[in-house]
Amino acid sequence: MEKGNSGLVGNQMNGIRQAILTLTFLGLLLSSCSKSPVDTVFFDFSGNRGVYIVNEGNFMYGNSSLSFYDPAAKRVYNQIFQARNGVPLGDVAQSICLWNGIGFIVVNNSGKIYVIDSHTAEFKGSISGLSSPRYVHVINSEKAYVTDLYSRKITVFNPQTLQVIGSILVGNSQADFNQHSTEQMIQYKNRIFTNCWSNDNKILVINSDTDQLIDSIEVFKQPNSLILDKNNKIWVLTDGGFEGSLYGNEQPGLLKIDAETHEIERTFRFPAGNHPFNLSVNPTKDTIFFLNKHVWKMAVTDKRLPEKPFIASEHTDYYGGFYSLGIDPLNSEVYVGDAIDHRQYGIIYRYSASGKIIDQFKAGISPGDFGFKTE
Amino acid sequence: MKFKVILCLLVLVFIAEKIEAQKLTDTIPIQEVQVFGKRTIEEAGMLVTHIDTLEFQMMKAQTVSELLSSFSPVFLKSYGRGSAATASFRGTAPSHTQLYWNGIKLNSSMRGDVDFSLFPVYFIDNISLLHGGSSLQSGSGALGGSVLINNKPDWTNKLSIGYVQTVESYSTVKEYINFGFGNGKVQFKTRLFSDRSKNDFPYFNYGVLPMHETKQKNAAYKKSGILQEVYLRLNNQTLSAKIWAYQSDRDLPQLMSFEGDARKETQNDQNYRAIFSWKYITEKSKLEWIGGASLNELDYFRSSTESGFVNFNSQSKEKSYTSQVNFDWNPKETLSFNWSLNTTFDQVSVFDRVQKSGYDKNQLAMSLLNAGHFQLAPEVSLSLLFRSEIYNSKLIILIPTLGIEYYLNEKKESSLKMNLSRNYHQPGLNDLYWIPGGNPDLKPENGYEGDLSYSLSARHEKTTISAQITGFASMINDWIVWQPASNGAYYWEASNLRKVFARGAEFQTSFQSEIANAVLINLKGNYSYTATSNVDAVPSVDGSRGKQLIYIPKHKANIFAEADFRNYYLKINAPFTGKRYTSSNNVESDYEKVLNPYCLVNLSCGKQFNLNVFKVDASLNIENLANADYMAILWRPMPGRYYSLTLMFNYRK
Repeated sequence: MEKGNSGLVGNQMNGIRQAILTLTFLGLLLSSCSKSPVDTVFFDFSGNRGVYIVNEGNFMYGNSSLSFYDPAAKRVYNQIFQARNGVPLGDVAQSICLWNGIGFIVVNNSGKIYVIDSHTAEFKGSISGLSSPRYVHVINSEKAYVTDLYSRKITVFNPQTLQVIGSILVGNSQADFNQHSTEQMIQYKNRIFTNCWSNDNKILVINSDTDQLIDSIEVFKQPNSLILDKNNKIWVLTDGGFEGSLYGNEQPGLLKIDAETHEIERTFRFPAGNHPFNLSVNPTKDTIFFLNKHVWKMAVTDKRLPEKPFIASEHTDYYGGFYSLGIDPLNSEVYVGDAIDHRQYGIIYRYSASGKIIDQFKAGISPGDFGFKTE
Repeated sequence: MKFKVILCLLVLVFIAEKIEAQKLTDTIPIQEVQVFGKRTIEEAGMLVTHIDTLEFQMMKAQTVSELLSSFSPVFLKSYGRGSAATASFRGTAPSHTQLYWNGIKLNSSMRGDVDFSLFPVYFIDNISLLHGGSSLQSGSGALGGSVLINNKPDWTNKLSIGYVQTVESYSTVKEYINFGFGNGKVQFKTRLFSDRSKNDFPYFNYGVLPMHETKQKNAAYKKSGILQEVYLRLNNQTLSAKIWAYQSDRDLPQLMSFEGDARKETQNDQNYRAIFSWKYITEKSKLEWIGGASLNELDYFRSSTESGFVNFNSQSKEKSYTSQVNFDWNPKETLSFNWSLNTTFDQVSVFDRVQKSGYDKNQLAMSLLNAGHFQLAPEVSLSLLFRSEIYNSKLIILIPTLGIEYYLNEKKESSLKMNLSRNYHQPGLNDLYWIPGGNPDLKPENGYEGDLSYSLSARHEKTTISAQITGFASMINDWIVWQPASNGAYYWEASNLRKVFARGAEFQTSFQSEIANAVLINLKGNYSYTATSNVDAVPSVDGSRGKQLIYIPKHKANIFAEADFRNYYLKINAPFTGKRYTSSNNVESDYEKVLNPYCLVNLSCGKQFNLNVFKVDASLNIENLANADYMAILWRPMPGRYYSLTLMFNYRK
């Protein structure tokens, strides 16, 4: 060090110039080690059954991603949206809805829906300008709905042209809180049922022919998911909010509602401190599944909540157990996502219908939703 | 790109050539340079870095965030131009770097961190860093280190007026004014500043389809402030008052991938701070009382401008009151003791009118410092200090640190220093009480730290060289993280989950010389290596064990070079930031978002005009000279090359 510098003193001006040049050069050299373009990767999943996994990533990190798992080959393809299309999926991808050879990926905090070819993951178009979109439900080839956490409206679009064709206002001006947020959707006849989760306790009923709000069903606090069983009963899981919330909080619950009459037929309560979510149903629609640290299941005829988990998580002490759940609509296999610390690739466990582990693999950060490609 | 590189080099060659051509002997004003290595007994065994006047000068129209980022081993995580910036000192969390303004801690009592982008360099007279355990001198809890910013009176000033204006790309105008007057007994000084920018820099958006050239939207900011100081000196007493008022209104831009409906998202900060101090100095002792009040408000607002609804409208108010009594006693030149008793009361109130959630809490903390500094032999000195603290009615009896300094030669040109300490960092009020997920049962984060450094300085005629290399290691237990609640709830929760091992090295060097009585050159280099990892990741599936914490680079460096010739100067500053991971298991692949290393080259050239009592300085600055395309944070665009013109005017009598 000392030697080098005394040389500089000796050489005076040349030294300075050299030093400046070296510095600049070094700077340019260092700054030029930025990313090199990555080649497009082409996928062909046509003819394969498979599971799309939507990985949420972290809020305001823009690192959500899409994975595809081929159950026959037991092979997973991660980051397929970026690999195929050269851009990231966006910030907090919430859900995927597969319909007619295309997939609608709802990217919540990017305010958009990316539409892909479900065989190749190729970008087909997008619906942008949304507020905080959550789920897509396709009613027919001319009409689909998008729910939203904040905007107090359901956006109606054409699933073929991707044009927004209308909206259904669901605002509750009487409420102290920002109601109604809309979440998941199920369809019975021409009625769409959607749960209002955030600081809310309603199931809204919309006539899908007229796009009119026709009824609302009061349930327990914070309904987070819903399904329709084989007897046309709607099951609603509520998480009860959290302690300290001004909206109030209560024990989580499960409700069974008749889809025809909108009457609540049976209710169940979980012990305080439980946090059930992600209600799902098997293909025969006679058994419901949900997460509450572990995976639980109960028959739609059961009169009591299950006492023992169907599949137990080993890591509940630190990370609160499993994070996402999906049931294969063809063979009833159970896919469970474990987000670990939500800052690294999550693990997907694949179980047989009887709960035996078949495979496990890593998907993206915070795997949150499954989309089963059955065609 | 190649063309630009060549162009840059040509410009530099031309400038250097010009300097050479004008090789004439002349007197040049030499600015005051503080050299590390020279220290008082109070600093014996302590690892302190002073940011020197030259660096200060170059960053006069910038913020402390940019200053630290360019001239210190501290890593600043900045969300972009004009945006919030938090610090990571020695690989620790933002709340582990503490900021003291004239002795009063300014960290947010809610979040624990400091937004360094809210401190204009113009409002500060000197900055120093206390590394690692040496920070216990200023207060506990700085597991990484502390940053001390101070204001000082200039008793020789009769009347001084200063004005600085910077006109910068992206509709940016910065203005700074200072006005001071007084005599040897009384001094008044007023500083004002305003910094506003549309901040609509162009960038290539590769976060959406189709990729396209675009301009940054919703990133405008407007900052202004005033600092008033009054000093009074009577025999052996000094009284002072400092009042700081600051307002920052910032629009918050969205990520590159955002394509949602139009949003208005803003953060407004208001800070009011006042410090009164009274000092009584005798030959061998100093008694000081400092009283401080700090009122801060942060308003966060987000709405959808199209649909006309508001998502968030939150107000966070923090009030904190501090009283501190210091007593220093120097019975001999080789012996010094100090005692300090600090009492701080914090009040916090957070409420979101839309989400209808928030909390109100307060806390009382007391800290007693006992310190002794001993020069045992001409070549050996020792510092021993410990703090005892009461925090929310809990007592931590002993927070010790021991520093030893050993001079390796008689001229005190080289020395070895060692510091060992234990430290505690109390959780922020958000960690404890945020709804939902705050955890009132959190324990303080606590760590053992040690560092060893070797420093060398030498002076030969008009050349000064100094260098310092430091190795450090710290083990921090009960590191607080927010992550999914262990009860399985959908919200996240604070818990004492990690055990973090941070270790590394810091290297600093500087060289100053005057050549042929004509050219003054000044070179400075700075490099830090920081490996910081969670060594206690829990289940076997967790791949984060032993991996570098996210957003903390292993390598950080900066180079500063200045050449002054007659009244011309050329300054180059090149901060380098190494690769940063964004996932806890540090995966890397073509599609994995690892943030690539980048180096910015900033250049400033100008001329000073000395006209008796007037001094004028005009400079042209080029930021990001190489037009580097980089991301400091995932999917947040950063500006390419941009320019500014700065005009400084000073009158002093």
